[in-house]
Amino acid sequence: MFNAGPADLTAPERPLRVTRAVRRVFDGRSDTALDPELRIFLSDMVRPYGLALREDLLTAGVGHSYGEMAAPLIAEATSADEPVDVLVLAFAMHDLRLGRATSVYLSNLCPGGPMAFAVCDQGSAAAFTALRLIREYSRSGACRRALLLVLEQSVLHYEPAGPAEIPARHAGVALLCDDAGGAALSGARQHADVAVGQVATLLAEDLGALTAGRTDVTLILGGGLAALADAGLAERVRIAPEGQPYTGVWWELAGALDHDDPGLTVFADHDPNLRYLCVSALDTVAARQEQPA
Amino acid sequence: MTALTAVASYLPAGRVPIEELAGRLGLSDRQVRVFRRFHGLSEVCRDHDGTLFDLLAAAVGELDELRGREHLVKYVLYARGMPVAVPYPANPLHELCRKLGLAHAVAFTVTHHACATGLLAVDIAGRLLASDGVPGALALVIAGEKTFTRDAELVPDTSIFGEGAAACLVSADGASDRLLSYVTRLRGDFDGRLVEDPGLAVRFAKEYPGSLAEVILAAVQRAGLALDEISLIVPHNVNAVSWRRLCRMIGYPVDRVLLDNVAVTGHCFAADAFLNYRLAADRGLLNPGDRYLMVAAGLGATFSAMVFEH
Repeated sequence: MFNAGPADLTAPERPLRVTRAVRRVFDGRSDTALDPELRIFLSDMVRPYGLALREDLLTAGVGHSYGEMAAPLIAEATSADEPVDVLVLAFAMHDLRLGRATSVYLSNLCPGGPMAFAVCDQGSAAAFTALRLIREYSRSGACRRALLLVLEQSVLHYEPAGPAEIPARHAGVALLCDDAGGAALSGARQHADVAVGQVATLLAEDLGALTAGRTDVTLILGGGLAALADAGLAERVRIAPEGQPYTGVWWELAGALDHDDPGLTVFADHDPNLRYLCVSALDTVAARQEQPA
Repeated sequence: MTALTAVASYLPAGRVPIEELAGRLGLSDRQVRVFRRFHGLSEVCRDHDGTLFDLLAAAVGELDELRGREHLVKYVLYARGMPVAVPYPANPLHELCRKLGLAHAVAFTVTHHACATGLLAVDIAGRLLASDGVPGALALVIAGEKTFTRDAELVPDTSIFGEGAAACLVSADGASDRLLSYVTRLRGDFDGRLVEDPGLAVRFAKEYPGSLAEVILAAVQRAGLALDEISLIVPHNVNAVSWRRLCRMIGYPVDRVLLDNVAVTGHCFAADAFLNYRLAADRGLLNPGDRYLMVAAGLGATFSAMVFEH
């Protein structure tokens, strides 16, 4: 049971740390793809928008569910002796279990039975928001250990209601956050209403502020910033894999953390449709220095 | 301390007697009679021609306290009960932000607490604002949904949904309606569709009162109060009979649970608590210093309670 008073920010802040990162691509499909209820719900949902169902995809029975994708990520990222207090699921494009409170379902699978919720309708910014919310719950003393899940599946059973990149594969990333060890979250910035033409300048400013002249910096750019790969923003630049518009930057981050190289990792993405620029930083050096002797 | 700076509600003029919904929802005459006589439902709000954007915009349009303070709004949170409600990537939330001059705000949807998501959104908004520490900064929380499919129209043998909406301004340090505690219990073991799983429906109905009582009592205790110091319960509108049962269980007078909207709005998803707050305030049921509860539960399942001081 999550039991909190007003946010208490009087305690000295300890930076949130990412202690474990897991990433996975999923094959196959969810059984939900064959559920007749899927067609009924989708038909009702798209009707007011005048959109057509994709009969080919409904007939093929393809697509995945975030509950099924997240279960193995949770199993790999957590352990029974490390109870999780807060679980946040971030996604942009919905999955096939349209009526399921998936994060609550996942709470039941996660050690500690954490308070859980989902963040969405924010494109690629949703996962950055989710990480920030974990920091706020941690900062106010409401949570010691938290799990961030970033998920995308690749099937939309109707004509999209507007311009948006559809993922090319089913993918997920889990980041376990704790109050000791790992890489410390040393910055989390979100800018709203940022046009494509403003991105390079704003990103350079944030990068300068977050790195403060350090040279041990790796910059990870999400798909929305791939055009800046050769802009000379940092000495080491990694680009999120194509086809993962919402998990890509987190996928690459998980890979970087897995190498456990000391240094500052800045990761960023821009959503061109919803116009968010998000820039965050994880500092392995700072985290190591802050660990008790 | 997180506070509700202003709360506005919007109830469409359209009202549909539950008998008129029986055919589409597959309700028998007996089930309709049970809904009306036992559960206390009579009619539900419906905005037949309006979109989700229209519904939410109307609620924000009632929020006079927002005018001229748009620049202070740092966050806009849509508290959505239905996990999925519009085709991707339609985004009424961001459409609304652009129209209202709030494009500068960070806007996102929180969901999965079903009809208890409104309380979650208030908690999150307060934490974000408190962390920023910007004097005068505000968050706008909006709630309200369309009854676009059967699962968004009916909770079998329990409730019928309505189309009402609410908008709240949340601050980190307001003087009125200060948040004293928030307790939420998640029961992922109630995952599933009640309409497909009668066993699940029976188990949920059996455990619902005890689970809701647990969070109510814990929230009151966390606020440092006794239950008899709670002047009013601002409920969700699932039905009247469940509140009568719950009140018997915890020893709280049911006449201090504001149930009047149940009969005229139906269960308006995550907006209920805010709609009922507005009703309570408009009727003068909240006096300075009163401590009251906002309580909500959602399928999936989530049970939540918040204590505020007016």
